[in-house]
Amino acid sequence: MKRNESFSARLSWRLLLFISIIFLVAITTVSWFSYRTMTAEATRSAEYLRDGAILEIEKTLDKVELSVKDVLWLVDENMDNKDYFYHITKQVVRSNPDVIGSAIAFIPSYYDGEYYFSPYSYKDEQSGEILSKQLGNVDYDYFCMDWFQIPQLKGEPAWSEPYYDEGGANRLMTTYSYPIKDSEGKVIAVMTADIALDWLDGIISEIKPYASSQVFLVSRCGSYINLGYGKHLQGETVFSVGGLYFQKDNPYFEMSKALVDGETGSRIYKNKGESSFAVFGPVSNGWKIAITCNLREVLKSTTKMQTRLFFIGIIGLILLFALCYLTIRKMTRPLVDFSESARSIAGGNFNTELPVIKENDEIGRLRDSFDNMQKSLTHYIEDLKQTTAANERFESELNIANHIQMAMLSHKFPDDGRFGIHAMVSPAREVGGDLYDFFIKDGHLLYFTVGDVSGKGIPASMFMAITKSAFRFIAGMGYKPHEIANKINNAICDGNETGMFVTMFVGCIDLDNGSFTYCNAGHNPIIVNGEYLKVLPNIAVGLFESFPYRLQQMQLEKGSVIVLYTDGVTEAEKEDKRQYGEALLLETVHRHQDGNPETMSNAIFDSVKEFAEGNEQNDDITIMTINLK
Amino acid sequence: MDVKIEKKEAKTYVTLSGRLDTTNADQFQNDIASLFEGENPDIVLDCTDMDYTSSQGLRLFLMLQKSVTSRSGSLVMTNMKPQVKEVFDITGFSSIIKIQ
Repeated sequence: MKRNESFSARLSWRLLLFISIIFLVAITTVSWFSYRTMTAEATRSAEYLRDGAILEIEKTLDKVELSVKDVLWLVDENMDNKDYFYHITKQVVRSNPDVIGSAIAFIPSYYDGEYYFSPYSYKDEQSGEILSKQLGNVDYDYFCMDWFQIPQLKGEPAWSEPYYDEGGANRLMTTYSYPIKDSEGKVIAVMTADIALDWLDGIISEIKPYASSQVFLVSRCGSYINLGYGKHLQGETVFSVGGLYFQKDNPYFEMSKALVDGETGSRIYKNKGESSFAVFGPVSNGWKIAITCNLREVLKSTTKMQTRLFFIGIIGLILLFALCYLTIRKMTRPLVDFSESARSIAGGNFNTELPVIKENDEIGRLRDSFDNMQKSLTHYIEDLKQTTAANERFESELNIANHIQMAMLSHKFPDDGRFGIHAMVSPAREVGGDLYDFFIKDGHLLYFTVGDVSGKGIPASMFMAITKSAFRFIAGMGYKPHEIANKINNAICDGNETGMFVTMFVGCIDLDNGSFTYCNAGHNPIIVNGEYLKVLPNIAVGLFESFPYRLQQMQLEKGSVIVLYTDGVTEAEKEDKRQYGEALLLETVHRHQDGNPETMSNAIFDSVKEFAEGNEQNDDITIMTINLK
Repeated sequence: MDVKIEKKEAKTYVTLSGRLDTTNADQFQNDIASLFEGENPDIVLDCTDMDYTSSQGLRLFLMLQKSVTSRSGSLVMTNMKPQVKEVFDITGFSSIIKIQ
């Protein structure tokens, strides 16, 4: 069953689908490019900020390093004046406002009697004054502290991991340590400068590419240095915090590793379901800085724009669908009307009004064709009705004509003991041009004739009627056969414009003595006692006026059989155009020579029909048989 | 029934072939219409390939003969097949139309 969906709806749906696909492809492409552009843009600006921060931090760190290195020669020169070291450390703290403390920590018992010796100056937080003290003691065993041990062992200056200096400055800080060596290269002391990490907050707070952006500064081995985002990070490393993501191939882990390895770059990773990217890079002292940006925030403006675009698109599509549907429905409305009209016309209502269409488009042309078809159909049906009526009338008239014609021919065959007679006619159409007639005059003269008008059908039948009437009239006056032919000829020739003619055999038998007089006017030779009669070649009746027809005569015995026929017998055809012929006729006559006239006539007719094998009879057939007793 | 009409000098040669019967008699009448025109016609009908003629055909030959006679012309039918000649003989047309 066909879905009962309208053409306009179907077309609109298809259009909508098509445009939706284009729309989606377009919006996806735009989203992709804006995502790419925005991400790249955000990465670039984060990188600028990172590089700026690195420079800023390095500047501060350089200054600290310089303030230590600047006084090293003083230390060298005053190795014997160990109290002067307090003055040197004070100098360091004074010279650099970022430095909160400085010490020169000697290896155990470098000076005799002093196991711990570490002159230390620091900025007092309350008063801002620079105070000095000896740092090392049993409670503050600095030999095992990182800031001392690492440079001592490595023999190289180093920045310590951030630590909370209990017993020292009591603050979160980091220390620059410089190993001081004797002439043999052995480390004898470590000079330090401490800086509190508070100053980093000032730098880092300026790095805010996005509201939710975070800046992390981590030490060489990944410990968090700035704790601006919460004390919970204290003592933690990027790996311990990211423990949840501590899996291979996890982007967060990969990034943390790259960060700690000192790579410079950017990564996109997922944290708690949120996509972010980070730019990171190393600082000269082994620290690393990372700036994270939430992608959602980065893309907020484009996402907003895309959402608007999407909703505008959806509304547009709905409007487009409605517009398409209405327009197409309006345009195809005539088609619906057409189908109504067609149904009505098919139902026989040929006067059905067609829908009016003004446009000369395809539908307009369809309407014209439809209109044309309707008119043609109307005319055709009207013609057909008239033709049928005319044909019916004509046929009924032909039937009547057939009855009249048959009534003209005698169907009563007398059997008076002296002779027997039988005749039959079978027209090829309703009416024909063959004729026969016979009558007895003066009680002993049997006049008879068989004739064949040229052609068939109505013209021939009219001519036949004239000829038949003329024969009865003229023969009835007692003329001899050739006189009869002559007079009929003259009568017909007068006014015969059409060139029609009649072949006739006219005969007369005197039943008293068997004398047979006859005249053959262009007709097929008759058969007398099983043989074709020799006849003089007189022309058919109706051709030339006053033609001198000649009379012939012969004597008949009792038992003689005469067979007359028209060329419808001998020229009856099979499908392959072979004709019945005179030889076959003679054979048939011989076979029924002893029968009565009716048997003979019927036998010949049946034989002809059998020969034709159902092929259509194309000429009138007439057979007359006479026998003398 | 095929009819070919050729004019050579003063004579008109007409070649007839096939069967002339009721079904094509009207067509034949149209085909030979041109023979009914002109003065002193001299017409030769070549019947070599004519297989059969019905009485309607005979009528047309007769009308042609009458037309030719009235225009002081001549009409000859040649090479007629025996079965066709027989029809002409029986109906007496042999004595009206010249047959060679």
